Amino acid sequence: MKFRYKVLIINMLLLSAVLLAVGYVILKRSYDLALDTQIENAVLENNLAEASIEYSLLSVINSPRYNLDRELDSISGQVYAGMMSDTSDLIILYSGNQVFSSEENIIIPDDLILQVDNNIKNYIITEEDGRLFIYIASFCKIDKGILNIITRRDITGLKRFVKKSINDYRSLSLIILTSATLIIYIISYFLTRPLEKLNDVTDAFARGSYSKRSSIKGHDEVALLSDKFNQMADSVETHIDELNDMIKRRDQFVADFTHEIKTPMTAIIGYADTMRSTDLDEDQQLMALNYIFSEGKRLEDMSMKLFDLIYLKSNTIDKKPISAVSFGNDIVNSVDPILSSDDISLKYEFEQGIITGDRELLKTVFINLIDNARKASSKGSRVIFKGDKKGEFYCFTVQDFGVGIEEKDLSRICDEFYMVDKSRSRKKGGAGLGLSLASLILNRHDADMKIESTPNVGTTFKISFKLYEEDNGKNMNE
Amino acid sequence: MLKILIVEDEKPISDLIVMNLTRAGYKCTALYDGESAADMLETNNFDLILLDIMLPKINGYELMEYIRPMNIPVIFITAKASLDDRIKGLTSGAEDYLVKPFEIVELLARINIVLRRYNKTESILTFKDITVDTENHIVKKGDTAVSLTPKEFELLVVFIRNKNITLFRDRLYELVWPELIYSDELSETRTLDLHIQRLRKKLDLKNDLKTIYNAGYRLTE
Repeated sequence: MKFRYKVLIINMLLLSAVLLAVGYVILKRSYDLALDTQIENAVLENNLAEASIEYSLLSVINSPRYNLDRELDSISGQVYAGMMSDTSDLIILYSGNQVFSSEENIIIPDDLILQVDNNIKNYIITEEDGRLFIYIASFCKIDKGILNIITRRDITGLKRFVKKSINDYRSLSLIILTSATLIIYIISYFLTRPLEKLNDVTDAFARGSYSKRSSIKGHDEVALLSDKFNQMADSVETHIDELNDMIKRRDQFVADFTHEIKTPMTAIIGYADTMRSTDLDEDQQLMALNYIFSEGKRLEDMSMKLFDLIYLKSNTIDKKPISAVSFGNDIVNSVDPILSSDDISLKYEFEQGIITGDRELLKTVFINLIDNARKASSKGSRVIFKGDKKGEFYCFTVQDFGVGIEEKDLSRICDEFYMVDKSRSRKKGGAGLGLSLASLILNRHDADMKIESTPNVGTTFKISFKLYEEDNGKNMNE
Repeated sequence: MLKILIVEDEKPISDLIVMNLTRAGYKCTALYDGESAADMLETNNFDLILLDIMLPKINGYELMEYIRPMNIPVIFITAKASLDDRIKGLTSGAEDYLVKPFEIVELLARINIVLRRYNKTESILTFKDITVDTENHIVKKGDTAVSLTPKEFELLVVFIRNKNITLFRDRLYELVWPELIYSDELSETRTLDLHIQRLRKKLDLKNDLKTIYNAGYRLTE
């Protein structure tokens, strides 16, 4: 059930109960009040009748001869006609016998006279044939007998009054309830509307529209909830975007990988197939075997680098302090033979400094970068490899004066399998993984890599590491 | 001699195709990017183009737009194997689409089909004194007609088209009995050997149609 209906029903139930209780109390009180007035009036009427009758009787009694019964009847008749209202009746009993009755067939309630005592009046309210009567009896001694003056007053009007009051109250209550229902419904509608809106948004969100946001403004709880929801939605969306991005990158990686692996595979299979199927002359045989070997090597290189990539992505790096000078010289020793075989000279210079990292992984990075520099350079060119301290950073620079990289390629050169010049890169044994591996390794070392390049002028790689804190540099790894 | 232009930026693959097509009797021209291919097409005529899609400078699709009005059949050779790529390749006007890695015999077969479609292959094949009219399915040895069953005929055509190439058993089954490739009895069946014997006998090819031990057969000229 909707919240607003719950609010409505609870409010209606409460309001009805209050109306009922209030109505009961008010009606009861006004009934009691009206009854009291009626009783008072009836008593007054009785008193009046009593006084008149007694007064008239006084003169009768003082006369020498009288017939009390007859006199009573005539006096009563006069009193009744003269001073009593139309709705009242008068009955006179003398020593228990009825001597006057303004109306026939009035049955006097039994308890009325029995309880009447000297100077005390008694009243009884009875209901006869749907009519309400109040009987008042008074008591006095006349001669030797007891005179009971009984007045009966029709108070059916009271009943009608009560009935009318109840009806009025009922109509009033109905009006109150109806308008209250309407008002409460409208109020609860506007109170719960934001909740419903939020609900719609949540629903859409749950069904995959991750860009949906709640637009509820304000400072109440719902607005707060809405804000929290938006915060949650933001973080979910970011995560989902990241996930999608990751999946896309992975798909791209797999696609690139299969594409890259197909070329060497086609060559290897093709040359092997040609060799087993046909009789090649010696030159052709050598060429085929050469291709099988070099393409096989390329596959091997690719698989090694891929393994490193996967390993790096899922493992932590064991960082140790490294002396920049010994590290740099180490790399120079490794790359010098390949560079000199291509007739490229290497200029190097390293300032003292200590960085931290995995020596072997970092070696891979710089060997890769210098090898890239070699591939970009032509014979007789040179490559500069140097290290400088810059504030709290240590900066390695690898600079070549080769073909350079165009600006459109710069942002993509670290992508897996991306090659600026495919045929050139292949010819020199590249697989398109070197730089992506290097940038991943540097990334895991919190090192920053900057590339500056101008086509046909050269390329400069600048890699800066945070310097190792001097005071705890005692267990240096040389 | 039929002229084939090979536009492929991977030198090893290009060399491989050239090596095999030259042996099969085609005159090959190899280029390594789209731009030089377009330049070449301006001044030279070719019977068929083998075109890689991922090329430097001008890619295969773009080059295809340029080739289309020339009415030269094109076979795409590419590592892109997704359905979208195939559809794009074929709707761009290429005659066929070959996905890397491919086998040489398959490449030759596809080239042959496309050339036949363009009526560029000769319908009469010859081997020594044997002539085969592939259009009318007539085989003559000297001047006498030899009657061959359809499978024997197909097998003979495959051998003559792939002269001096060792055809491996599985390859032969693929080309002549494609329906048997996926059956379990392939390893035990003697169908191929039986047909070879029949061909040798009917056309007197005992010395030319050689058995290559542990591999298959070869028709040697």
